[in-house]
Amino acid sequence: MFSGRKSLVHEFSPEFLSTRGIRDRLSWFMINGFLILFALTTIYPFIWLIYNSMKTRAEFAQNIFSLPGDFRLDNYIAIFNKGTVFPALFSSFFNSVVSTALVILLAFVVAYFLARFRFRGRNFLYLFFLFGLLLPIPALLVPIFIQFKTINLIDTRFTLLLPYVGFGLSSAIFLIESYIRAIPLEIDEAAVIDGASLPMLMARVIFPICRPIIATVSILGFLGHWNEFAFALVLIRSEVYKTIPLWLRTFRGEYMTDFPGMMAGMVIASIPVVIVYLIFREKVVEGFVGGAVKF
Amino acid sequence: MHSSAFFKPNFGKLVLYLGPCILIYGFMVLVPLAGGIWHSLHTDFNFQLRFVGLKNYVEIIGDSNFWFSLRNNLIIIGLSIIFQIGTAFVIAVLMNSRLVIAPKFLRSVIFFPVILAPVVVGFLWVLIYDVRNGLFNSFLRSVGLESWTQLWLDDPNIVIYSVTLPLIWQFIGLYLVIFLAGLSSIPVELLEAAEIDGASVFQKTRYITLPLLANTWKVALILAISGGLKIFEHPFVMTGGGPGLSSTVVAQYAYDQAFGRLRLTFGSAIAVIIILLSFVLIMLTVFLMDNVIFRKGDRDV
Repeated sequence: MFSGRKSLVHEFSPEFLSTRGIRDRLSWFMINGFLILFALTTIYPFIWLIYNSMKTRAEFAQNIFSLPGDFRLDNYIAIFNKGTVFPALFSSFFNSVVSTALVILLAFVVAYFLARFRFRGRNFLYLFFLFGLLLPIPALLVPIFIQFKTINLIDTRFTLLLPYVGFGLSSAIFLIESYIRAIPLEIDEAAVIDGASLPMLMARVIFPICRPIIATVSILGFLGHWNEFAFALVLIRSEVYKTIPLWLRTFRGEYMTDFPGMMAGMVIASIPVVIVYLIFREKVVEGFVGGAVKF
Repeated sequence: MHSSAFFKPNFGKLVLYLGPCILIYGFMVLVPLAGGIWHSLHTDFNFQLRFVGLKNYVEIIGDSNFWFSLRNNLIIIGLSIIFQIGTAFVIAVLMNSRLVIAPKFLRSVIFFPVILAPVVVGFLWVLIYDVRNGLFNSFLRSVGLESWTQLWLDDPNIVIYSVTLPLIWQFIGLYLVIFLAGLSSIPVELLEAAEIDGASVFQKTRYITLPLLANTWKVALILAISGGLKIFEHPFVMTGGGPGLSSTVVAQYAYDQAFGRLRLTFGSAIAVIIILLSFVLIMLTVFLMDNVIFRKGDRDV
C-alpha cells in the first residue's frame, strides 16, 4: 500500500504538467480502473452470496441485486435448528485436522532424510514422491473405490484420512525438503557433536527452524482437505461421516427453490476457509506458488 | 558436504523413518494404479471378475461417447489457456508496473476464489446461471437485453462453455500469483535499461518479460493441461455432465460408467487411459516449450 503511494509521487510530481505527465495520468486511471473492475468481478459473486443469504425468499425474488432490508440470520438459524450440519462440521474438522497433522509428521521426516542423508535410492525416492504430483487424482477414484471396497474400508470414521494423507504427502515433502536444504548443515553437525540423537535433532533443532514452511503446509493442507469432494463422494455413505461438501450437496437437493437458504448453507461451508484466508493470505499465496513451481 | 558419518544411515534406520510414509503413499498411489491396470483387463459381470485382455480398451477406442467427453476436456483446456492464462498474464504485467495503487490488496482479492471449495463454486455458479433469478439473466433483463438471456446450463449448445467459465473465474488468481512470482525474479535494472533505450511497454514485454518467463509459462501450461484433464467436481455439481452428454468430461464419464452403470472394470480402463494421456500431454508440453517455443538462444537476452 505505502510503497504504491510513494511510487505515485515518484511517477507524477516531477513532470506533472508535461505531456508525459498527462499520458501517465491517463494510463494510471486506465490501469487502476481496469484492475479494480476485474477484482470486483472475482469478489462480487461471493459478496452477493453473503448478503442474499440474509434475505427472505420474497425479498430475494423481488430484487436479486439489492441489499436486504435488514440483515436477518433466519436462514442460518433454520439450518442450525435442523442440525444435519453439525455432524458434517465435525467430520470435516476431524478429517482436515488429523490428516494435516499426519501429513506434517510423515512429510517432515521424509523431507529431512531427502535433504540431509546420503543413501542409495535417494533420487529414486525423490522421483517416487514426485510421481504423486503428476497423477490426475479423479482418474484414481474408480480404482481406489474398488480397493477400499475389497478390504472393507468404505464408510468409516477413518476412511478419508488415507487418501487425504496419501495425496497430501508429495507437495508437503517437496516444500519442506527445499526449505531444509536452505538451512546450513553446520547447525545439524553442531547438534550432533553436542550429542543430539536423530529424533532430538529433528524434533528440537530442525523442526522449530522449519516453522514457517510447516505453517504454510498446514494451512494448504487444511484448505485442501476441508474443500475435498471427490473422495468423500465415492468413499462415504453414512450421514455421520459426511463431510461439509457432501452435506452441501444433499442440502441443495432439499433447497432447490429456496435460494437464500441455499446461500446460507454455502456461506457456512466457506466460513472456515475464508477465515483462514483472511488471516494467512500471504502464506496461502506463497504456498500455492511454491507448490506449483515445483513442477 | 556430508562429511559426518551420521548422515549415512543404515538400512534399519531408513525403514524405521521412511517406512510409514512410503507405506501410506504406496497404498494410496501405487496400489490403486496397479489395481486399476489389473482390473482394466477384466470384466465384472455380476461381480465375477473374468480376464478379457485388452477388450475394455478396444471398446473405449471405438466408443464415440468417450471421445466426445475427451473433446470437452480439450475445449476446457484450450479456453483455459487462452482466457485464464492469457488474462492472468496481462493482469500480472499490469500489476507489475509501478502505477498500481494497492498491488498486494488487489492480488489478495483476485486470488480469493482459489480457496473456495469446488462444490461451493459450482453451486454459486448454478445460482448465477439460474434462468429466472440468476445474476446473468437478471442483469441482462435489467439493461434491456432480454433477448440475450440464455438457458445457460440447459442448452446443450452452450453448456460446455457455461461450465468452463466458473473454472476460469476460480483459478485466474492462481495463475496471476504464479506470473507475479516469475515477474519478481526479473531484475528491475533490465527493464529500466530498456526503458532508457526507448523500448515501449509492448517491446519490453515481448523481448524481455516473455522470454525470461519461459519457465513460468511452462509451469502455467502444465497446470492448465493436467488440470483440464482432472476436471470433475465443477461440472459434476453443476450439470452432472448433462444435458445428455453435452458437459460430460472424461472423469465424469469414468464415474458414470463405474458407479452409474456398475461397470467398474470398464471405468478402471478409462482411468488408466486418462492417466496415460495426462503423462503424454505433460511430456509433450515440456518438450515443445523447451525445444520449439522457447529455444535456448531466445532465453539469452
